[in-house]
Amino acid sequence: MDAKVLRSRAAAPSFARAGALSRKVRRGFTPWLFLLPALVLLAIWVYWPLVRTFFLSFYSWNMLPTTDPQFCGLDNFVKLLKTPGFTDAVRNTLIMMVGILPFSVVLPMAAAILAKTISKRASGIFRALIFVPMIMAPVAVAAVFRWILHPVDGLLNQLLAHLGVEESIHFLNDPKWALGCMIFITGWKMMGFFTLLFYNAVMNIDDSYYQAAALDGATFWQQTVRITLPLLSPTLVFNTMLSILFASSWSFTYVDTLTQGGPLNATINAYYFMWDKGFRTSSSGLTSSSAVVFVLAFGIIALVLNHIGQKLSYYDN
Amino acid sequence: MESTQIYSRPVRMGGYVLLAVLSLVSIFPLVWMALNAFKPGDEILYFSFLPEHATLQNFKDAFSMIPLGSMILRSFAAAFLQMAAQIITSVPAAYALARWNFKGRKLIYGLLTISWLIPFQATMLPNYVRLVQMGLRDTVMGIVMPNLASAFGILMLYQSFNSFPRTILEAAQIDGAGPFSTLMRVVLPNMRGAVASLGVVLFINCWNEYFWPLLITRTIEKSTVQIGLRMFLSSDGNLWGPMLAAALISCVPILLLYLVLQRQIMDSFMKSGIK
Repeated sequence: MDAKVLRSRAAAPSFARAGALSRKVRRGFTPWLFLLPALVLLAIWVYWPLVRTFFLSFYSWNMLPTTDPQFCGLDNFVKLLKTPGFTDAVRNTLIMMVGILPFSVVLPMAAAILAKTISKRASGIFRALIFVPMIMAPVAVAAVFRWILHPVDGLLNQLLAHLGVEESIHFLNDPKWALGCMIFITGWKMMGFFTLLFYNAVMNIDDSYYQAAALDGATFWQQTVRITLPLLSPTLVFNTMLSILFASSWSFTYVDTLTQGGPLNATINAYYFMWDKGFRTSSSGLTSSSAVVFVLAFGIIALVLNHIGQKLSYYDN
Repeated sequence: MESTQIYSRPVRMGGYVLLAVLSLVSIFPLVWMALNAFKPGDEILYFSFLPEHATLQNFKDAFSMIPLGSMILRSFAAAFLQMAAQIITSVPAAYALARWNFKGRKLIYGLLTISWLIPFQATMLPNYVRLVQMGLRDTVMGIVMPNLASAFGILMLYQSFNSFPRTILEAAQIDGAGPFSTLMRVVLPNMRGAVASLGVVLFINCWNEYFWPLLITRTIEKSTVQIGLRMFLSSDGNLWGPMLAAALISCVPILLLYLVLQRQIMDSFMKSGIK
């Protein structure tokens, strides 16, 4: 009996130490336990497919589960550069980046700055209305614009006829107009969102700056240029970055439903290219190699913009 | 920051004019769509503003041309499942990031930010092949599967959870509550608003989702409202009336949500960025 007690006493401290150790290990594990479901799912459906896309860009494959991908080196990338539409896609993507800015930066910023000057109630209603396109389904938006822009039945052409324009404009079938239409629809859809971001930033500017400036007799214009704009610069940079990176991605639904990249590749862009030239034609090589090229390109653009942005931003400390 | 300044008349006039014009441009297509959805076919081409002989014929036609009823049900099922799954996976993940300063936390945060930047088109091919192999083409599960977790949802909740006072967490710990029960009993009840508004944004995004359902559904009976609507866009005949009616129907659930929760929706879109 004595021996038993002794033994158990001797064992006790080591048990305690083991308990402390496992508690420590457990504590180290706990965050991961909470992160696990999300991380596993993201790994399965985002990270791993991304890696696979990267590898597939060096293989030729018709996407049938019964066949095996064949290694082909850089062939896909060479083919990609020769694919009709690739240079058009790059050009249109660049045009969209710039074309979206009036809708994502210029107008929203002006609206946000001026919204502060009118009655709170009115500005609230206006902002809620401008935001409506943002929540509308992109396909429904495409449906309405297909009708409004129609050469015969469309409201726009009827209005133009009233104004004396004799020949109806085929907005979506004319290479001169089609890309502009895609930019307009995309910009129109996103404008409320950017107005919201700018408005929030405007309202966060400390009012004492304006009071001091008003005492010095500064006009509204001077206050805007000297106080508002510099303090809006972080938002300005952020919104510019968002719109440059995502403009073509936002336009995808409209391009797919209204022009299918045409006419004559006038509206094809990076995102539509990946889908149209690759996936739809069951060419895994073109899909994956274009995905690699565009993701890398956008990644580099993001890094450069981030770098420039940090230099340009002026923070109110 | 309440503004106390009185602005000059021309400035205020400029404000009213610009915002009114932008509001009009923003709302007009929706209003125009809604009004014309109730007009008989020939009246749609006249451009009278209000319908003279309002009719529900376009809606009847839309329902007979495509299986709108079952599409709406599918859209609802898919959007609800995705939202629920994304919330369930985002809450604990955001909590872990906000609560513990563990090794690898920065790495995880970086990975989440990167995956927010990865375009869907870059992962579609392997995902598509995998789902087809699993036999999930033309199913709601096929639409939902790749979107059960959302990096964007985690990042957004992380911001809200981060503002939760640490002292309360520590008090709960001293009271002997484990991390899970702290989350369920202390954090979540106080964060109901943040979680709910994230849910609304996720639901809207899933409801409006176009690209992935387009890939994964082959038959019209098995697709969502957005894909059904596409049928009217790709057909050569100009079925304006039924098209507008179907488009209106596809927007109604979201517009109703917006009418009721307008402020919360705008607020959470603002916090969240897009996507």
